[in-house]
Amino acid sequence: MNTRIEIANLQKRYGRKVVIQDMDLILESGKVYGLLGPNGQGKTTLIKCIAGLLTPEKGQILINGEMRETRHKGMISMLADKDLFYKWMTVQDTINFYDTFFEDFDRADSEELIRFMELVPQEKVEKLSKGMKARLKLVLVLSRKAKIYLLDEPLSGIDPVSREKIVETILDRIREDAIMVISSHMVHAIESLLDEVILLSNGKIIAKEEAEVIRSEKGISIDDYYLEVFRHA
Amino acid sequence: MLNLMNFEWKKSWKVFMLGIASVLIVYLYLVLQGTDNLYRGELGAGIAMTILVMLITVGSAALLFQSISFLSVDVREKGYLLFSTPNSAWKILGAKLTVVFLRFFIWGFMVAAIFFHMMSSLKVEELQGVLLHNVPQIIFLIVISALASLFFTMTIYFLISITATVLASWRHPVLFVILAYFGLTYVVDWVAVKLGELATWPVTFQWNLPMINEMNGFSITGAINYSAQGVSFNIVPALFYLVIGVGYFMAAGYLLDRKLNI
Repeated sequence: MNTRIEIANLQKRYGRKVVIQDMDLILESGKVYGLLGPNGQGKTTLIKCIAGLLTPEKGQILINGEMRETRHKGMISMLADKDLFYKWMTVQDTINFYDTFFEDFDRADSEELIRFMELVPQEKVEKLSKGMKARLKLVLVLSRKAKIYLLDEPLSGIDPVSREKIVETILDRIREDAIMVISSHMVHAIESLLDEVILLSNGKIIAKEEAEVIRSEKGISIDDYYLEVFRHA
Repeated sequence: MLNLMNFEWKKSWKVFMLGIASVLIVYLYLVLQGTDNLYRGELGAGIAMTILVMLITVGSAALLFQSISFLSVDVREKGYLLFSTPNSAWKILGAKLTVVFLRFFIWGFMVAAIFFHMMSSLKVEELQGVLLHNVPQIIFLIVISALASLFFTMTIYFLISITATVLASWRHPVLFVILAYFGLTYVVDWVAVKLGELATWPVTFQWNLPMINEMNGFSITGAINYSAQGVSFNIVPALFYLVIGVGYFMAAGYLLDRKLNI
């Protein structure tokens, strides 16, 4: 079954600061969306609103035509940009946590990914380097057969070797029946993954374009397109 | 729900078990060293009471710390992990409260066991008689205390849920929780006492020994009265506390499910 997210008239404020302004957006399965923009433009806020970790002041988020509720979290696999593990957890504990709470978690797949990412199950998560933590988060998120993947800055602060592995893993796990949203300000690193590009500035969508159109019709890379748009924004 | 309880238990079971083990080892060491002789006479009773008060204080501090940690851990960034699962906030709260209840129960039994030993070491026959012939009453007191701790925890969770949702922009959430706790508790207790005066439906657990006949009765929040006759449990204010507790639970779950920002 195909999945569809409809965002209508969405608004989110932090105190007096409006972070998302009257946003309308439709996301459909089979596509990888790049949510792009400099820091502080509302990318993380939008992702957290879709994931149900933030409550918007206005507007609605529909998933397959239904208002987003707690049960929809079972469909959403989110990679947070923050460190979200508890101090007592080992790599194996995090795997067990996901296996326990998400029905779509594929344990065999996670074990394969753990090996591929060179993680040690017995190791304490707090002892892992930033790059290894990023790998672990990706293992957990991509081991789920979710309908919606929300990856918030999966490459931020990651060394080039880890970055390559992460991009390779994401590429392998893209599915026709799922929506994947990747937020990043490192456009060149995720360029090869994207089907569609959404550019955010001051909480507004300032451009939404098919990646193929940018490459073939405009004849430029997404990185150049990004620079061009933000130069004139 | 069991999964969530297991997760809650795992989060700090080592600290909890370490606390239990430390107390038992230290106590056992004192007993093996013959320190229980200290409990004899009036001075002994003083020492026994001091140890008991210390145990209750440590238990209460742990309960307070655990309740407040809901603010510093679960509804902040670390809550990502828990609140990204497809579990409703009611389930999450329910699991947390069940674990609090179980831990309080275990701690309560340990304190009661130490209390038993101390009293029997006092070599006062009447006191030993009080303990041996009032086991159901003592268990009842532990259950009531555990329920009271649950009510306390739920009140704190409710107030923390408010700070994490509708008052998320407030700069001093802990101050709010502390002040609001005292205000809310004062009002709820006042209503409970008034209800207890208006409608009385007591259930009394008689003490099975008449020796404490000079003990004055005293009341906590109008629901429970301790006296020479026994433990009198007034159902009317207790029902009121139950309704308020359920109200806190429902409201906290609603706020966390619909309004949470983490």
